[in-house]
Amino acid sequence: MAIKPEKLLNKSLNKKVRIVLRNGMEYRGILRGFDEFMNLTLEGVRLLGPEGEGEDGQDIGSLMIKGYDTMLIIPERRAEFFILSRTILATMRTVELQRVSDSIKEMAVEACHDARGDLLEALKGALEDEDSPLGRDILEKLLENAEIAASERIPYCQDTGTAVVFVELGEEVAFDRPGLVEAINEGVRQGYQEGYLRKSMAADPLRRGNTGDNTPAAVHIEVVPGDRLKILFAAKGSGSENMSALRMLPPSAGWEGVKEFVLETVEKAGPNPCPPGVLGVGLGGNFETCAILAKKALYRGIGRRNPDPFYAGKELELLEAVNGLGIGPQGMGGRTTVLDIHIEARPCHIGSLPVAVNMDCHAHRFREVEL
Amino acid sequence: MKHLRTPLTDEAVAELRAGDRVAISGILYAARDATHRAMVEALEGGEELPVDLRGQVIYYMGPTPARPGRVLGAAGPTTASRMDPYTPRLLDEGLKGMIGKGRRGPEVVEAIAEHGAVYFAAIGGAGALLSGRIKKAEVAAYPDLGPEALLRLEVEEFPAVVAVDSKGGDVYSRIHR
Repeated sequence: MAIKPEKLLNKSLNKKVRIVLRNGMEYRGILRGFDEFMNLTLEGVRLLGPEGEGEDGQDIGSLMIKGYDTMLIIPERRAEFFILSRTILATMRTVELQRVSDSIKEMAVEACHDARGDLLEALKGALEDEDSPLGRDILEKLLENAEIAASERIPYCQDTGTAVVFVELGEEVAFDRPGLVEAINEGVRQGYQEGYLRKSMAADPLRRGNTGDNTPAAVHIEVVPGDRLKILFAAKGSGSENMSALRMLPPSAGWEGVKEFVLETVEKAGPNPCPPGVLGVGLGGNFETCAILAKKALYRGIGRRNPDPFYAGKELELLEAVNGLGIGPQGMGGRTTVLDIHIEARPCHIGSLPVAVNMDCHAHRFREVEL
Repeated sequence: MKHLRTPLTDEAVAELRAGDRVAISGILYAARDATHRAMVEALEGGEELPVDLRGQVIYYMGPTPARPGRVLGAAGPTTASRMDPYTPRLLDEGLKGMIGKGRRGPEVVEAIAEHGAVYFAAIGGAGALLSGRIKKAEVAAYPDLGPEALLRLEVEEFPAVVAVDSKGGDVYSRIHR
Protein backbone atom coordinates (compact mmCIF):
# COMPACT_ATOMS: atom_id res chain seq x y z
CA MET A 1 0.00 0.00 0.00
CA ALA A 2 1.37 3.37 -0.96
CA ILE A 3 2.31 5.81 1.78
CA LYS A 4 2.46 9.41 0.63
CA PRO A 5 5.71 11.27 1.48
CA GLU A 6 3.82 14.06 3.24
CA LYS A 7 2.25 11.52 5.59
CA LEU A 8 5.71 10.28 6.62
CA LEU A 9 7.00 13.84 6.95
CA ASN A 10 3.99 14.74 9.08
CA LYS A 11 5.15 12.11 11.56
CA SER A 12 8.48 13.96 11.90
CA LEU A 13 6.93 17.41 12.23
CA ASN A 14 8.27 19.20 15.34
CA LYS A 15 10.72 16.38 15.92
CA LYS A 16 14.47 16.13 15.47
CA VAL A 17 15.49 15.05 11.97
CA ARG A 18 18.72 14.60 10.08
CA ILE A 19 18.92 16.03 6.56
CA VAL A 20 21.46 14.72 4.02
CA LEU A 21 21.95 16.92 0.97
CA ARG A 22 22.94 15.73 -2.48
CA ASN A 23 26.38 17.23 -1.98
CA GLY A 24 26.90 15.11 1.16
CA MET A 25 26.39 17.92 3.71
CA GLU A 26 24.41 16.93 6.78
CA TYR A 27 22.24 18.99 9.13
CA ARG A 28 20.32 18.17 12.29
CA GLY A 29 17.37 20.23 13.53
CA ILE A 30 13.68 20.37 14.41
CA LEU A 31 11.41 20.07 11.38
CA ARG A 32 8.94 22.94 11.55
CA GLY A 33 7.35 22.81 8.11
CA PHE A 34 7.39 21.56 4.50
CA ASP A 35 5.53 22.29 1.30
CA GLU A 36 4.53 20.43 -1.84
CA PHE A 37 8.07 20.85 -3.27
CA MET A 38 9.60 19.28 -0.15
CA ASN A 39 11.14 22.61 0.76
CA LEU A 40 11.85 22.35 4.49
CA THR A 41 12.02 24.79 7.35
CA LEU A 42 14.11 23.83 10.36
CA GLU A 43 14.86 25.38 13.75
CA GLY A 44 17.71 24.79 16.18
CA VAL A 45 19.82 23.61 13.24
CA ARG A 46 23.34 22.30 13.66
CA LEU A 47 25.59 21.95 10.62
CA LEU A 48 27.25 18.55 10.90
CA GLY A 49 29.41 19.00 7.79
CA PRO A 50 30.05 16.57 4.92
CA GLU A 51 29.11 13.00 5.87
CA GLY A 52 28.35 14.19 9.41
CA GLU A 53 32.05 14.56 10.15
CA GLY A 54 31.58 16.86 13.12
CA GLU A 55 28.83 14.99 14.90
CA ASP A 56 28.34 17.76 17.47
CA GLY A 57 28.13 20.34 14.71
CA GLN A 58 27.91 24.08 14.61
CA ASP A 59 24.82 26.02 15.71
CA ILE A 60 23.32 27.90 12.77
CA GLY A 61 19.83 28.72 14.08
CA SER A 62 16.92 28.53 11.64
CA LEU A 63 17.18 27.35 8.07
CA MET A 64 15.18 26.79 4.92
CA ILE A 65 16.40 23.93 2.71
CA LYS A 66 15.28 23.52 -0.90
CA GLY A 67 13.59 20.20 -1.63
CA TYR A 68 15.64 19.89 -4.79
CA ASP A 69 18.90 19.74 -2.83
CA THR A 70 17.69 17.16 -0.32
CA MET A 71 18.66 13.53 -0.67
CA LEU A 72 17.49 12.04 2.65
CA ILE A 73 15.30 13.10 5.58
CA ILE A 74 15.83 10.74 8.52
CA PRO A 75 14.20 10.89 11.95
CA GLU A 76 17.12 11.52 14.34
CA ARG A 77 16.14 8.53 16.50
CA ARG A 78 16.89 6.37 13.41
CA ALA A 79 20.09 8.19 12.50
CA GLU A 80 22.42 5.68 14.19
CA PHE A 81 21.44 3.01 11.65
CA PHE A 82 22.14 5.39 8.82
CA ILE A 83 25.54 6.31 10.29
CA LEU A 84 26.44 2.64 10.76
CA SER A 85 25.46 1.61 7.22
CA ARG A 86 27.28 4.63 5.80
CA THR A 87 30.44 3.61 7.63
CA ILE A 88 30.18 0.02 6.42
CA LEU A 89 29.42 1.03 2.84
CA ALA A 90 32.43 3.34 2.75
CA THR A 91 34.74 0.37 3.35
CA MET A 92 32.96 -2.08 0.99
CA ARG A 93 33.54 -2.77 -2.67
CA THR A 94 30.28 -3.08 -4.53
CA VAL A 95 29.85 -5.78 -7.17
CA GLU A 96 26.81 -6.00 -9.42
CA LEU A 97 25.09 -9.36 -9.15
CA GLN A 98 24.50 -9.24 -12.90
CA ARG A 99 28.26 -9.75 -13.30
CA VAL A 100 28.05 -12.89 -11.17
CA SER A 101 25.28 -14.30 -13.40
CA ASP A 102 27.13 -13.36 -16.58
CA SER A 103 30.39 -14.95 -15.47
CA ILE A 104 28.67 -18.21 -14.44
CA LYS A 105 26.90 -18.37 -17.79
CA GLU A 106 30.15 -17.79 -19.70
CA MET A 107 32.09 -20.31 -17.63
CA ALA A 108 29.37 -22.97 -18.10
CA VAL A 109 29.36 -22.66 -21.87
CA GLU A 110 33.14 -22.39 -22.18
CA ALA A 111 33.88 -25.25 -19.78
CA CYS A 112 31.60 -27.61 -21.70
CA HIS A 113 33.12 -26.80 -25.10
CA ASP A 114 36.75 -25.78 -24.64
CA ALA A 115 39.07 -28.21 -22.92
CA ARG A 116 41.50 -26.45 -20.61
CA GLY A 117 45.08 -26.09 -21.84
CA ASP A 118 46.54 -28.07 -18.94
CA LEU A 119 44.12 -30.93 -19.70
CA LEU A 120 45.18 -31.08 -23.35
CA GLU A 121 48.85 -31.04 -22.35
CA ALA A 122 48.22 -33.85 -19.85
CA LEU A 123 46.40 -35.97 -22.47
CA LYS A 124 49.24 -35.45 -24.95
CA GLY A 125 51.77 -36.39 -22.28
CA ALA A 126 49.77 -39.52 -21.45
CA LEU A 127 49.69 -40.50 -25.13
CA GLU A 128 53.49 -40.35 -25.23
CA ASP A 129 53.78 -42.61 -22.19
CA GLU A 130 50.98 -45.07 -22.96
CA ASP A 131 52.04 -48.54 -24.18
CA SER A 132 48.63 -50.17 -24.62
CA PRO A 133 47.49 -49.93 -28.28
CA LEU A 134 43.83 -49.70 -27.25
CA GLY A 135 44.75 -47.07 -24.65
CA ARG A 136 46.68 -45.04 -27.23
CA ASP A 137 43.76 -45.24 -29.65
CA ILE A 138 41.41 -43.92 -26.94
CA LEU A 139 43.74 -41.06 -25.97
CA GLU A 140 44.05 -40.04 -29.62
CA LYS A 141 40.28 -40.04 -29.97
CA LEU A 142 39.92 -37.95 -26.81
CA LEU A 143 42.24 -35.30 -28.26
CA GLU A 144 40.27 -35.41 -31.51
CA ASN A 145 37.05 -35.09 -29.51
CA ALA A 146 38.38 -31.97 -27.76
CA GLU A 147 39.26 -30.42 -31.11
CA ILE A 148 35.80 -31.13 -32.60
CA ALA A 149 34.06 -29.83 -29.46
CA ALA A 150 35.96 -26.53 -29.61
CA SER A 151 35.72 -25.95 -33.35
CA GLU A 152 32.19 -27.20 -34.03
CA ARG A 153 30.72 -25.96 -30.71
CA ILE A 154 29.38 -29.37 -29.67
CA PRO A 155 29.78 -30.08 -25.97
CA TYR A 156 32.84 -32.23 -25.20
CA CYS A 157 30.53 -34.71 -23.43
CA GLN A 158 26.74 -35.06 -23.43
CA ASP A 159 26.68 -35.21 -19.63
CA THR A 160 27.13 -31.51 -19.06
CA GLY A 161 26.79 -32.21 -15.37
CA THR A 162 25.69 -30.60 -12.16
CA ALA A 163 26.86 -27.00 -11.86
CA VAL A 164 29.16 -26.77 -8.84
CA VAL A 165 30.01 -23.25 -7.70
CA PHE A 166 32.43 -22.18 -4.99
CA VAL A 167 32.33 -18.51 -4.04
CA GLU A 168 35.29 -17.03 -2.17
CA LEU A 169 33.58 -13.93 -0.88
CA GLY A 170 35.75 -11.18 0.60
CA GLU A 171 34.33 -9.67 3.79
CA GLU A 172 34.61 -6.23 2.19
CA VAL A 173 32.50 -7.11 -0.84
CA ALA A 174 28.91 -5.85 -1.02
CA PHE A 175 26.45 -6.67 -3.79
CA ASP A 176 24.26 -4.06 -5.42
CA ARG A 177 21.13 -6.02 -4.46
CA PRO A 178 20.17 -9.13 -2.48
CA GLY A 179 20.10 -12.58 -4.11
CA LEU A 180 23.61 -14.02 -4.59
CA VAL A 181 22.45 -17.65 -4.84
CA GLU A 182 19.63 -16.75 -7.22
CA ALA A 183 22.12 -14.83 -9.38
CA ILE A 184 24.29 -17.96 -9.55
CA ASN A 185 21.30 -20.10 -10.53
CA GLU A 186 20.25 -17.53 -13.12
CA GLY A 187 23.71 -17.82 -14.70
CA VAL A 188 23.38 -21.61 -14.77
CA ARG A 189 19.88 -21.38 -16.26
CA GLN A 190 21.01 -19.07 -19.06
CA GLY A 191 24.26 -20.91 -19.76
CA TYR A 192 22.61 -24.31 -20.06
CA GLN A 193 19.76 -22.96 -22.19
CA GLU A 194 21.71 -20.71 -24.54
CA GLY A 195 24.71 -23.04 -24.72
CA TYR A 196 22.60 -26.06 -25.79
CA LEU A 197 23.76 -28.00 -22.74
CA ARG A 198 21.84 -30.94 -21.30
CA LYS A 199 19.55 -30.28 -18.36
CA SER A 200 20.49 -33.14 -16.08
CA MET A 201 18.96 -32.28 -12.70
CA ALA A 202 16.23 -34.59 -11.39
CA ALA A 203 13.64 -32.59 -9.44
CA ASP A 204 13.55 -35.11 -6.60
CA PRO A 205 15.92 -37.95 -5.69
CA LEU A 206 13.13 -40.56 -5.48
CA ARG A 207 10.24 -39.10 -7.46
CA ARG A 208 12.76 -37.99 -10.15
CA GLY A 209 11.39 -35.71 -12.90
CA ASN A 210 13.56 -32.84 -14.17
CA THR A 211 13.93 -29.26 -12.94
CA GLY A 212 14.12 -28.24 -16.60
CA ASP A 213 16.97 -25.74 -16.40
CA ASN A 214 19.82 -27.60 -14.69
CA THR A 215 19.34 -25.68 -11.45
CA PRO A 216 19.89 -25.74 -8.57
CA ALA A 217 23.66 -25.46 -8.63
CA ALA A 218 25.63 -26.94 -5.72
CA VAL A 219 26.79 -23.69 -4.10
CA HIS A 220 29.52 -23.37 -1.48
CA ILE A 221 30.16 -19.88 -0.12
CA GLU A 222 33.34 -19.22 1.86
CA VAL A 223 33.85 -15.87 3.53
CA VAL A 224 37.49 -14.75 3.23
CA PRO A 225 39.33 -11.60 4.35
CA GLY A 226 39.74 -8.68 1.97
CA ASP A 227 37.72 -7.30 -0.92
CA ARG A 228 38.24 -9.95 -3.59
CA LEU A 229 35.48 -12.06 -5.07
CA LYS A 230 36.49 -15.32 -6.70
CA ILE A 231 34.00 -17.61 -8.39
CA LEU A 232 34.89 -21.19 -9.25
CA PHE A 233 32.65 -23.14 -11.60
CA ALA A 234 32.55 -26.82 -12.51
CA ALA A 235 30.28 -28.89 -14.74
CA LYS A 236 30.51 -32.20 -12.91
CA GLY A 237 29.36 -35.38 -14.62
CA SER A 238 27.64 -38.16 -12.73
CA GLY A 239 29.70 -41.05 -14.13
CA SER A 240 32.69 -40.02 -12.04
CA GLU A 241 30.68 -38.49 -9.19
CA ASN A 242 28.90 -41.83 -8.65
CA MET A 243 32.25 -43.57 -8.11
CA SER A 244 33.40 -41.12 -5.42
CA ALA A 245 33.62 -42.24 -1.80
CA LEU A 246 34.24 -41.10 1.76
CA ARG A 247 35.47 -43.08 4.72
CA MET A 248 36.00 -42.16 8.36
CA LEU A 249 39.29 -43.91 9.14
CA PRO A 250 40.73 -44.32 12.64
CA PRO A 251 43.78 -42.08 13.15
CA SER A 252 45.93 -45.20 13.56
CA ALA A 253 45.29 -46.07 9.87
CA GLY A 254 47.62 -43.18 8.94
CA TRP A 255 48.93 -42.57 5.45
CA GLU A 256 48.92 -46.29 4.60
CA GLY A 257 45.21 -46.47 5.40
CA VAL A 258 44.51 -43.41 3.28
CA LYS A 259 46.49 -44.79 0.37
CA GLU A 260 44.74 -48.14 0.59
CA PHE A 261 41.33 -46.46 0.58
CA VAL A 262 42.19 -44.34 -2.48
CA LEU A 263 43.48 -47.38 -4.40
CA GLU A 264 40.44 -49.42 -3.41
CA THR A 265 38.11 -46.63 -4.60
CA VAL A 266 39.84 -46.28 -7.97
CA GLU A 267 39.98 -50.03 -8.50
CA LYS A 268 36.31 -50.47 -7.66
CA ALA A 269 35.41 -47.63 -10.04
CA GLY A 270 37.31 -49.25 -12.91
CA PRO A 271 36.01 -47.92 -16.24
CA ASN A 272 32.95 -46.09 -14.84
CA PRO A 273 34.41 -42.65 -14.05
CA CYS A 274 35.68 -42.33 -17.67
CA PRO A 275 39.42 -42.54 -17.04
CA PRO A 276 41.87 -40.94 -17.40
CA GLY A 277 40.58 -38.17 -15.15
CA VAL A 278 41.67 -36.35 -12.02
CA LEU A 279 41.28 -37.32 -8.35
CA GLY A 280 40.50 -34.82 -5.61
CA VAL A 281 41.42 -36.19 -2.19
CA GLY A 282 40.17 -34.49 0.97
CA LEU A 283 41.98 -35.34 4.21
CA GLY A 284 40.85 -34.28 7.66
CA GLY A 285 38.08 -31.89 8.60
CA ASN A 286 34.91 -33.76 9.48
CA PHE A 287 32.30 -35.75 7.54
CA GLU A 288 31.04 -32.87 5.40
CA THR A 289 34.08 -30.58 5.20
CA CYS A 290 36.23 -33.50 4.05
CA ALA A 291 33.96 -34.09 1.04
CA ILE A 292 33.98 -30.38 0.18
CA LEU A 293 37.80 -30.34 0.41
CA ALA A 294 37.97 -33.22 -2.07
CA LYS A 295 35.71 -31.39 -4.49
CA LYS A 296 37.64 -28.16 -4.17
CA ALA A 297 40.95 -29.96 -4.75
CA LEU A 298 39.72 -30.75 -8.28
CA TYR A 299 39.84 -27.06 -9.25
CA ARG A 300 43.64 -26.97 -8.95
CA GLY A 301 45.46 -26.98 -12.29
CA ILE A 302 46.76 -30.32 -13.58
CA GLY A 303 50.45 -30.65 -12.74
CA ARG A 304 50.26 -28.18 -9.85
CA ARG A 305 51.35 -29.63 -6.52
CA ASN A 306 50.12 -28.95 -3.01
CA PRO A 307 52.25 -26.05 -1.66
CA ASP A 308 53.11 -28.14 1.43
CA PRO A 309 56.08 -30.31 0.33
CA PHE A 310 54.84 -33.13 2.60
CA TYR A 311 51.56 -33.40 0.69
CA ALA A 312 53.22 -32.68 -2.66
CA GLY A 313 55.27 -35.83 -2.04
CA LYS A 314 52.18 -37.81 -1.07
CA GLU A 315 50.45 -36.70 -4.28
CA LEU A 316 53.27 -38.04 -6.41
CA GLU A 317 53.45 -41.29 -4.45
CA LEU A 318 49.70 -41.80 -4.88
CA LEU A 319 49.85 -40.90 -8.59
CA GLU A 320 52.42 -43.62 -9.20
CA ALA A 321 50.45 -46.18 -7.20
CA VAL A 322 47.14 -45.41 -8.91
CA ASN A 323 48.62 -45.51 -12.40
CA GLY A 324 50.28 -48.78 -11.41
CA LEU A 325 46.83 -50.39 -11.13
CA GLY A 326 46.76 -50.83 -14.90
CA ILE A 327 43.13 -49.75 -15.33
CA GLY A 328 44.10 -47.45 -18.19
CA PRO A 329 42.07 -45.23 -20.56
CA GLN A 330 38.37 -46.14 -20.32
CA GLY A 331 39.32 -49.01 -18.03
CA MET A 332 40.58 -51.09 -20.94
CA GLY A 333 44.09 -51.48 -19.62
CA GLY A 334 47.15 -49.28 -19.71
CA ARG A 335 49.32 -46.92 -17.67
CA THR A 336 47.07 -43.88 -17.81
CA THR A 337 44.38 -44.24 -15.16
CA VAL A 338 44.54 -40.70 -13.78
CA LEU A 339 46.15 -37.52 -15.13
CA ASP A 340 46.72 -36.03 -11.70
CA ILE A 341 45.85 -36.27 -8.00
CA HIS A 342 45.33 -33.27 -5.75
CA ILE A 343 45.29 -33.61 -1.96
CA GLU A 344 43.86 -30.93 0.30
CA ALA A 345 44.21 -31.32 4.07
CA ARG A 346 42.88 -29.53 7.14
CA PRO A 347 42.83 -30.10 10.90
CA CYS A 348 40.48 -32.78 12.23
CA HIS A 349 39.24 -34.21 15.53
CA ILE A 350 41.82 -36.10 17.63
CA GLY A 351 39.71 -39.24 17.17
CA SER A 352 39.18 -38.96 13.39
CA LEU A 353 40.93 -39.36 10.08
CA PRO A 354 38.31 -38.59 7.42
CA VAL A 355 39.28 -39.24 3.79
CA ALA A 356 37.19 -38.42 0.73
CA VAL A 357 37.95 -39.27 -2.89
CA ASN A 358 36.11 -37.21 -5.48
CA MET A 359 36.67 -38.68 -8.93
CA ASP A 360 36.54 -36.66 -12.12
CA CYS A 361 36.51 -37.78 -15.75
CA HIS A 362 38.74 -36.72 -18.63
CA ALA A 363 36.34 -33.87 -19.58
CA HIS A 364 37.50 -32.09 -16.38
CA ARG A 365 35.38 -28.95 -16.79
CA PHE A 366 36.64 -26.56 -14.11
CA ARG A 367 36.90 -22.79 -14.44
CA GLU A 368 37.47 -19.77 -12.20
CA VAL A 369 37.19 -16.02 -12.42
CA GLU A 370 37.85 -13.00 -10.17
CA LEU A 371 35.33 -10.18 -10.20
CA MET B 1 39.11 -52.98 -37.21
CA LYS B 2 35.96 -54.97 -38.01
CA HIS B 3 33.12 -53.32 -39.92
CA LEU B 4 29.64 -54.24 -38.78
CA ARG B 5 26.20 -53.44 -40.18
CA THR B 6 22.99 -53.53 -38.14
CA PRO B 7 20.75 -55.43 -37.68
CA LEU B 8 23.43 -57.85 -36.47
CA THR B 9 23.43 -61.45 -37.64
CA ASP B 10 24.32 -64.39 -35.40
CA GLU B 11 27.30 -65.13 -37.65
CA ALA B 12 28.74 -61.62 -37.41
CA VAL B 13 28.32 -61.56 -33.64
CA ALA B 14 29.88 -65.03 -33.19
CA GLU B 15 33.11 -63.81 -34.80
CA LEU B 16 33.60 -60.94 -32.37
CA ARG B 17 36.01 -61.26 -29.45
CA ALA B 18 36.38 -59.02 -26.39
CA GLY B 19 38.94 -56.31 -27.18
CA ASP B 20 38.18 -56.17 -30.93
CA ARG B 21 37.84 -52.69 -32.38
CA VAL B 22 34.74 -52.27 -34.54
CA ALA B 23 33.04 -49.62 -36.69
CA ILE B 24 29.25 -49.94 -36.74
CA SER B 25 26.96 -48.65 -39.50
CA GLY B 26 23.17 -48.75 -39.80
CA ILE B 27 20.36 -48.22 -37.32
CA LEU B 28 20.85 -47.91 -33.55
CA TYR B 29 18.15 -47.28 -30.95
CA ALA B 30 19.11 -44.78 -28.25
CA ALA B 31 17.64 -45.45 -24.81
CA ARG B 32 18.52 -44.59 -21.21
CA ASP B 33 17.16 -45.46 -17.75
CA ALA B 34 13.57 -44.21 -18.09
CA THR B 35 13.21 -45.69 -21.60
CA HIS B 36 14.31 -49.09 -20.35
CA ARG B 37 11.89 -48.94 -17.47
CA ALA B 38 9.07 -48.04 -19.88
CA MET B 39 9.91 -50.92 -22.25
CA VAL B 40 10.17 -53.54 -19.51
CA GLU B 41 6.97 -52.28 -17.86
CA ALA B 42 5.22 -52.60 -21.24
CA LEU B 43 6.39 -56.21 -21.57
CA GLU B 44 5.35 -57.05 -18.02
CA GLY B 45 1.94 -55.54 -18.74
CA GLY B 46 1.57 -57.90 -21.68
CA GLU B 47 2.02 -55.14 -24.27
CA GLU B 48 4.14 -55.22 -27.42
CA LEU B 49 7.34 -53.17 -27.58
CA PRO B 50 7.06 -50.01 -29.71
CA VAL B 51 9.85 -51.35 -31.96
CA ASP B 52 10.90 -54.87 -32.96
CA LEU B 53 14.23 -55.42 -31.19
CA ARG B 54 15.21 -58.63 -33.03
CA GLY B 55 18.80 -58.24 -34.28
CA GLN B 56 18.85 -54.60 -33.15
CA VAL B 57 21.42 -52.65 -31.14
CA ILE B 58 20.56 -50.27 -28.28
CA TYR B 59 22.87 -47.34 -27.60
CA TYR B 60 22.79 -46.11 -23.98
CA MET B 61 22.81 -42.41 -24.64
CA GLY B 62 20.98 -39.17 -23.84
CA PRO B 63 22.26 -36.31 -26.04
CA THR B 64 22.62 -32.59 -25.41
CA PRO B 65 20.06 -30.51 -27.38
CA ALA B 66 21.03 -30.01 -31.04
CA ARG B 67 22.06 -26.55 -32.17
CA PRO B 68 20.03 -25.36 -35.16
CA GLY B 69 21.22 -27.18 -38.30
CA ARG B 70 22.69 -30.17 -36.46
CA VAL B 71 21.34 -33.72 -36.16
CA LEU B 72 22.20 -34.01 -32.46
CA GLY B 73 24.37 -32.38 -29.83
CA ALA B 74 27.02 -34.31 -27.91
CA ALA B 75 26.14 -38.01 -28.00
CA GLY B 76 28.53 -40.21 -26.02
CA PRO B 77 27.60 -43.38 -24.11
CA THR B 78 26.31 -43.44 -20.56
CA THR B 79 27.14 -46.01 -17.83
CA ALA B 80 25.78 -49.37 -18.99
CA SER B 81 25.43 -51.06 -15.61
CA ARG B 82 22.45 -48.85 -14.77
CA MET B 83 20.58 -50.73 -17.50
CA ASP B 84 21.56 -54.16 -16.10
CA PRO B 85 18.24 -54.79 -14.30
CA TYR B 86 16.37 -54.49 -17.64
CA THR B 87 18.83 -56.08 -20.04
CA PRO B 88 18.07 -59.84 -19.70
CA ARG B 89 14.38 -59.16 -20.42
CA LEU B 90 15.24 -57.25 -23.61
CA LEU B 91 17.67 -59.97 -24.70
CA ASP B 92 14.71 -62.36 -24.45
CA GLU B 93 12.99 -60.12 -27.02
CA GLY B 94 15.82 -60.68 -29.48
CA LEU B 95 18.00 -57.65 -28.71
CA LYS B 96 21.40 -58.50 -30.21
CA GLY B 97 23.73 -55.73 -29.19
CA MET B 98 24.24 -52.90 -26.73
CA ILE B 99 26.60 -49.94 -26.72
CA GLY B 100 27.51 -48.18 -23.49
CA LYS B 101 30.44 -47.63 -21.21
CA GLY B 102 31.80 -49.58 -18.26
CA ARG B 103 31.39 -53.05 -16.85
CA ARG B 104 28.25 -55.20 -16.89
CA GLY B 105 27.10 -57.28 -13.95
CA PRO B 106 27.72 -61.07 -13.94
CA GLU B 107 24.03 -61.84 -14.64
CA VAL B 108 24.14 -59.67 -17.75
CA VAL B 109 27.42 -61.17 -18.98
CA GLU B 110 25.82 -64.59 -18.54
CA ALA B 111 22.64 -63.53 -20.36
CA ILE B 112 24.70 -62.08 -23.22
CA ALA B 113 26.51 -65.42 -23.62
CA GLU B 114 23.25 -67.36 -23.36
CA HIS B 115 21.64 -65.32 -26.16
CA GLY B 116 24.77 -65.06 -28.31
CA ALA B 117 24.61 -61.27 -28.08
CA VAL B 118 27.34 -58.64 -27.70
CA TYR B 119 28.07 -55.57 -25.59
CA PHE B 120 30.23 -52.84 -27.08
CA ALA B 121 31.97 -50.04 -25.19
CA ALA B 122 32.16 -46.66 -26.89
CA ILE B 123 34.48 -43.98 -25.54
CA GLY B 124 32.80 -42.41 -22.54
CA GLY B 125 32.94 -38.65 -22.76
CA ALA B 126 33.80 -38.45 -26.46
CA GLY B 127 30.41 -36.84 -27.09
CA ALA B 128 31.49 -34.40 -29.81
CA LEU B 129 33.41 -36.99 -31.82
CA LEU B 130 30.62 -39.59 -31.66
CA SER B 131 27.96 -37.01 -32.56
CA GLY B 132 29.66 -36.65 -35.94
CA ARG B 133 29.07 -40.34 -36.71
CA ILE B 134 25.31 -39.97 -36.27
CA LYS B 135 23.76 -38.99 -39.58
CA LYS B 136 20.07 -39.03 -38.70
CA ALA B 137 18.03 -39.01 -35.50
CA GLU B 138 14.29 -39.25 -34.94
CA VAL B 139 11.99 -40.08 -32.05
CA ALA B 140 10.85 -43.72 -32.39
CA ALA B 141 8.69 -43.92 -29.26
CA TYR B 142 7.97 -42.43 -25.82
CA PRO B 143 8.19 -38.75 -26.89
CA ASP B 144 6.82 -37.83 -23.44
CA LEU B 145 10.14 -38.92 -21.89
CA GLY B 146 11.81 -35.85 -23.42
CA PRO B 147 15.60 -36.32 -23.47
CA GLU B 148 15.03 -39.98 -22.60
CA ALA B 149 12.67 -40.71 -25.52
CA LEU B 150 13.51 -43.79 -27.61
CA LEU B 151 15.47 -42.48 -30.60
CA ARG B 152 16.15 -44.16 -33.94
CA LEU B 153 19.64 -43.21 -35.09
CA GLU B 154 21.40 -43.79 -38.38
CA VAL B 155 25.15 -44.10 -37.84
CA GLU B 156 28.19 -44.47 -40.06
CA GLU B 157 31.44 -46.05 -38.91
CA PHE B 158 30.54 -45.62 -35.25
CA PRO B 159 33.71 -46.57 -33.31
CA ALA B 160 33.50 -49.01 -30.41
CA VAL B 161 35.31 -51.89 -28.73
CA VAL B 162 33.83 -55.34 -28.05
CA ALA B 163 33.57 -55.33 -24.26
CA VAL B 164 31.58 -58.55 -23.70
CA ASP B 165 31.50 -61.09 -26.52
CA SER B 166 28.97 -63.83 -27.30
CA LYS B 167 31.07 -66.39 -25.40
CA GLY B 168 31.04 -64.26 -22.25
CA GLY B 169 34.58 -62.95 -22.78
CA ASP B 170 34.87 -59.63 -20.90
CA VAL B 171 37.49 -57.01 -21.76
CA TYR B 172 37.30 -55.52 -18.26
CA SER B 173 37.87 -58.82 -16.45
CA ARG B 174 41.26 -59.20 -18.18
CA ILE B 175 42.61 -56.05 -16.61
CA HIS B 176 45.01 -56.54 -13.68
CA ARG B 177 42.84 -59.09 -11.89
